[in-house]
Amino acid sequence: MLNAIEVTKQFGANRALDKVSISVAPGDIYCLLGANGAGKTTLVNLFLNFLQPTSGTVQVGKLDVLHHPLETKRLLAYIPEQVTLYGVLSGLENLAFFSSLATGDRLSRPRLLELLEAAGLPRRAADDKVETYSKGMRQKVGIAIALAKNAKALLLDEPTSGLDPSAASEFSELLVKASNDRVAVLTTTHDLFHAKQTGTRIGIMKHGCLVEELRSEDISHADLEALYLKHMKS
Amino acid sequence: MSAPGSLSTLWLIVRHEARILIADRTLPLVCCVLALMIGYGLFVGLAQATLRDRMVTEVLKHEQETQEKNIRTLQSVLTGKETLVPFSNPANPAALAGSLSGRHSTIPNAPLAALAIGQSDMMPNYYRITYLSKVQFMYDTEIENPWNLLSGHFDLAFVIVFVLPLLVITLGYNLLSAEREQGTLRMLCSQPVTIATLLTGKIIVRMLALMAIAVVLPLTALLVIRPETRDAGQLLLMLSWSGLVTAYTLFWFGAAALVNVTGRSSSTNALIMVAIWTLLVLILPVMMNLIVSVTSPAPSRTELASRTRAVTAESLREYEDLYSADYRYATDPEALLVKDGHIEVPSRMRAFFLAKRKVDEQVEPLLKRFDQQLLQQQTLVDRMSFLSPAILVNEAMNSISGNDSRRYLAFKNQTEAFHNLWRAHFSPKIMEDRAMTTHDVASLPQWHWAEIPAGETNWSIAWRTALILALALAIGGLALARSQHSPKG
Amino acid sequence: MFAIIAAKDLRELTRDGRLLWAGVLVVVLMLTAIAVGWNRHSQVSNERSAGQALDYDAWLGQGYRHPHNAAEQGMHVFKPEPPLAIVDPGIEPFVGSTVWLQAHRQSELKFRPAQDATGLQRFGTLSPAWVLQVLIPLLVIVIGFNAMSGERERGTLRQLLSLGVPVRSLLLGKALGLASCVAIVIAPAGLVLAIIAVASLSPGERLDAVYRLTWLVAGYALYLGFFIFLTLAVSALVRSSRAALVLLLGFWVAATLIAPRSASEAANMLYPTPSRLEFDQHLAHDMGAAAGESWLANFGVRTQWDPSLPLSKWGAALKVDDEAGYGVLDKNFGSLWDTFERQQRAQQWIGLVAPVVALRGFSMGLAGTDFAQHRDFSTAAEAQRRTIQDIISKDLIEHADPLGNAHFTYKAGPELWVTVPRFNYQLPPVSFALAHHWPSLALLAVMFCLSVALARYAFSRPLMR
Repeated sequence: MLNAIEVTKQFGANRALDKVSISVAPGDIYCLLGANGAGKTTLVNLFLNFLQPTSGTVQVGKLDVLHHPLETKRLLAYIPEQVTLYGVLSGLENLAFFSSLATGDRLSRPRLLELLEAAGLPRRAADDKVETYSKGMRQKVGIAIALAKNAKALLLDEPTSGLDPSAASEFSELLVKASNDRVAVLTTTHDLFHAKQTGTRIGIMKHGCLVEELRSEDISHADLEALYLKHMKS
Repeated sequence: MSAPGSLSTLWLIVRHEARILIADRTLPLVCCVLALMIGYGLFVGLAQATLRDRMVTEVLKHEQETQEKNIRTLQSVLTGKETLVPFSNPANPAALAGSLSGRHSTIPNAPLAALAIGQSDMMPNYYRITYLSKVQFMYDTEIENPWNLLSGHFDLAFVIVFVLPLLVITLGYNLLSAEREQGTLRMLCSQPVTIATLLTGKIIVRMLALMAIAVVLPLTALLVIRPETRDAGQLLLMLSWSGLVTAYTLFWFGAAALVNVTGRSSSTNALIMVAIWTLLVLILPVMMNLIVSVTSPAPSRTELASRTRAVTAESLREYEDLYSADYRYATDPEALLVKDGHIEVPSRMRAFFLAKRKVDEQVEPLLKRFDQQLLQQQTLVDRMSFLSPAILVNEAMNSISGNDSRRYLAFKNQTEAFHNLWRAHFSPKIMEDRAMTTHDVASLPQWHWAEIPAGETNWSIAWRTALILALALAIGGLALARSQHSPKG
Repeated sequence: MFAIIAAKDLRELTRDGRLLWAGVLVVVLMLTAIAVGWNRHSQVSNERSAGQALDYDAWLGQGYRHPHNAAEQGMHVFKPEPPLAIVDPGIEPFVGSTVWLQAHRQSELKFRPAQDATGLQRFGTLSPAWVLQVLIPLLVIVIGFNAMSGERERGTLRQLLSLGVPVRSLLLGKALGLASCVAIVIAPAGLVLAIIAVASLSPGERLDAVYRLTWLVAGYALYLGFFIFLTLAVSALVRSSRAALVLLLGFWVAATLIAPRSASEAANMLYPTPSRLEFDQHLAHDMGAAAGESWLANFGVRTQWDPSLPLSKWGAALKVDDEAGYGVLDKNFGSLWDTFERQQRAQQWIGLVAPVVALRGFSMGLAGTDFAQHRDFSTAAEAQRRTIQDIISKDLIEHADPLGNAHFTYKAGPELWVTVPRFNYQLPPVSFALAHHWPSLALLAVMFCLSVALARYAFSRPLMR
C-alpha cells in the first residue's frame, strides 16, 4: 500500500534520507524507530507530498505521490503529533469540516457523533470548543477524521508521546482494529514497548538510512531494546 | 476529482473561513472600521458637493437679478428718467461689457462629485466674465486655508486609495502564516485540497465582506440622496467605479497571497506588506510627483508677470492719446444721454477696452504654454502611473467625480473662448458708439457649459481598471502557481 | 551599562536586513529631496529677485504718463522663498508667489504652484520634513517593535535579568540603540543640509538659519523620541511581537495618516472657511457701505462717483474712496486670515493624540513656510500698494485736479516715480516663528515626557510572565 523505493532527500549539504526503501502492506503496522533527526518525519512528509524526493519514488496504493497528489491524499489519513484544530469551533464542527474536505460529502450529525465515539471522545465533549480540549482529546478528533476518511493507509507521527498509559493503550487498540480492517499503518515512535506490542514490523533509522528492518514477532522486548541502543551508540 | 468537486471544496472552505473570521471577531471589527470611514468619507464628499452646488445657484441667481436690474435701469435711462455716469450706465456698451452685466461662466458638479473631492477645493467653479485681461481674472482661486490644502481631505477617494489596502493587509497578512503557526495547515494539507483552493476560498470571504461595504454602501447611499445619479450614464460610471474598487482590492489580496506563499512568519509578512503599502501608496506617488515636476516643469510665473507688465506698459503707450483725452462728462451732462441710438463712449473706457484686448493677444502664447505644460504633465503621469495602482485608482476616481484637472482645464478653455466671444460681441458697439437697447441687453451672449464627452471619461477609467486588474491577476496567478511549493509547517 | 546594551542592540540591528533596506531607502529619499529642493530653490530665488529688480526698473523708466495709468500698470512683487523651504516646503505649493499691486484692488497672491501641477501634487511633496514626519517613525516601529517582546520570546530576556541589569539601564540602553539607528540614517542628509546652509547663505542669514535649524532639531528630536519610547513601551507591555507590531502600526497609520486629515475636517467644521462668493459679496457690501458714508461726509453725495462730482475733485475722490476701503479690506481679510489661524490652532489640540500635527505646524513655522509668515508678506505687499496709491493720489490732487476737464492730460514723470520706494521685504527672524509656535513645541515636549513615563512604567512591571 505504502511504498518508498530508493528514496533520497537532500537539503542542501544535509542528506536527510539516503536510498531508503520501505513497503507497508495492507494490515501491516509498521513502526519506525530512530533518534531525533534520523529522517522519520521527513519520510512521512514525503508520503504526504509536503516534500518532494531528490531521487526515488514514493507511492501510495501504486500511485506516484508526485503525479497524483490529491488522489493519494484521499487514500491516506494523517494524525500528527500535535493535532491542531480550529479553537473557536467545537470538536464536532472541526470533524464536520475536515471530513467534508476529505470525502466531499456532508456527514450527518448522528454519523459525526458516531465517529467521535468510535474514536473514544466522550459524548458530552463533542460540542465543546476545541480550545478547551486536552492533547488526548484532540488526538481523538484526529482519529475520528481518519475514520471518517475510510482511508486505506494511516500515517502517524509520535502518536503516544504525551499520553498517559491508559490513553496510550486505548490508542494501540484502535491501531489493531485498523490493521484488522486491512489498513496499512506507518507510525514513527520512540515508544519501544508499544512498537513491539502493537506493531507487526519494526524499522530502525539512523542518519537517514534504514539500518534494521524486522518482524516484531521475531524479537523479544529486551532484545529489541538492546538492538536499538546498539545502533544508536555505534 | 473533476471540476465540480473542487468547486464544492471551495464553497466548503468559504463557509468555514467565514465562520472562523466571525467567531474570532476580526472580520466584524474590520468591517465596522471600514463602514465608519466610508460613511465619513462620503459625508465629506457630499458636503463639499452641496457647497459647490449652492455657490453655482447663488451665482446664477445673482446673474439673473443683475440682468433684471440692468433692463429696468436701461429703460429708465432711455426714457430720460435717469442720468448716470458712464461707468454705471447700462446703455454704455463699455460699461455693460464690464462687471455691470454680472455675467459669469459656471461649471456644474458632475452627478458623482461626492465620490472624490479631487481638485475642486482649489479650482474655482465660476469666473466673472468681463472684458478685462485674462491674466487679471483667470487666476483667481477658491479661498481655502492652505494648511487644509496641504493636509488633504478625508473623502471617499482617500479611504479607498489609502485606508482600504491597510484593511486588506489587516485581513490578509496571515492568510497562510496563521494556519501554519497554529498548526492547522498541516491538518488541512493532509486532506485532498490544494493550497491554491485554500487561498482562493479565504480571499473570497474577505473580498465579499469588504466589497459589500466599500462598494454597495456608498453607491446605495448616493443613489438615495442624489436623484441625478439615477440615469443610465451615471449608472455605467458607478459600475466602473465598482469595478475599479474591486480590482484594486483584488490587487492587494493578490500581494498578500504572494507574500504568504513564501512561507514566512506572520510578523514578517506584516512587515513586508506594510513596506509594500508604504512604497506603492506613500513613496512612489510622491517620487513621481517630483519626477514629473522636474522633467516637465511649469513655465516660470515670474516670466509671465514680467511679460504682462511689459505688455501692459506697451498698450498704455499705444493708446496714450485715448487715455489722456478730455473727460467732460461731469461738467456736461448732455454728453451722457443716448441720442438716436448712439451714446458717447468715453475715450478712457474705449482705451481700456482696447488695451486689455491687446494685452490678451500678446500674452496668449505664453498662457497657452502653461496649459500645454499641464497637459504634458498629465500625459506623463498617465504613462508612468502603471508603477503604482494607487495613482491609477486616484486618477480614475477624480475622473469619475468630475473633479480632475482635465475637466477644470476644459472649463478654463471654454471660459476663455466665451471671453473672446463676449469681447467680440461688444467690440463693434464700443468702436461705433452704439447704445445698448433693451433687446440687446436681453440677448447678450449666454454661457453654456459643454460637458466633456462621456466616452472620454469612460475610456480613461476603463484602461486604468484593466491595468489594475491585469496586475492583480498577474500577482494572484503567480501566488497560486507558487503555492504548491509553499511550506506547510 | 546602558551603553553596553545600546552597543549590542546596534550591532544586532545593523546585521538585520530591516535596517539596511529601510535605511538605504530613507537616505536615498532624503538626499534626492534635498538635491531637487536645492536646485529648485536657487532657481526660483534668482528668478524672483531678478524679476523684482526688473520690475522696479520698469517702474522707474515708464516715461511720462498720467499717474492713474501708472497705478493701473502697477508693480509686481515676488515673495522670496525662505532658505529652509528646502527642509520643509510647508504651504508654499498652495499659496501664491506673486502679487500685482494695482490701484483699487487688494489682490491676493496669485499663481499657486499647485495649480500648475496635476492631481498627483495632492499626494504630497517629497521633502526631508515629510520623510522625518512619516517614514522615520515607521522605521523606528519596524526595527523596534520586538525590542523587548523579541527578547522575551527568544528567552534572552530571562538571561539579561538574571545578570542583575537595572531596569533603567535596560530602557536607556534600548532607547539609545534605536536612537543611534535613526541618527545613522539621518546623518548623511543632515550633513549635506548643514553644508548647504552654511555655504550658500550670507552671514546675516546664516545665523538666523542656524538658530532655526537648531530649534527644528529640537522639535524633531522630541517627536522621534516620542516614537522611540512609545515603541519600547508597547514592546514591553504586549504579550507577543506580532501584537506589538499590529498595535504600533495601527497607531502609526492613525496618527500620521488619518489624524491630520480628520483634524483638518474638524477644524473646518468648527470655524468654516467662507467660499469665495460669500467673501466677495461681503467685501463688496462693506466697501459700498463704507464708501457711501465717506462720500457723503466729504462730498455730500449719496452715491459713489455721482455724476454731479466735478472732475476737479477726481483726485480727491480717489483718495477718499481708497481710504474708506482700507479699513474694510483690513477687517475682511483680517477676519479671513484670523479664521485660518483659528482653524490651525484648533487642529494643534489633536497634537495631544497625534504628535505629527503639532510637529507639522512647528516645522513649517521654523522653516519659514507657514501661514503666519505668508500673512506677514501679504501685509507688507499691501502696505506697499497703499504707499503707491497715497503718493499717486497726493500728486493728482496737487497737479491734475486743478486742470478740470483736462484732468487726464496731466502727465507725471520720473521725479514722481522715484518717490515710490523700492519694495524691500525682509523675511521675519526666528523670534517671529518661535512666538507663534512655542505652544507646539511645548506640546511635543509634553508628549515626549508622557511616552518616557509610559516606557518606564512598562519596563518596571514584572517582565517575565
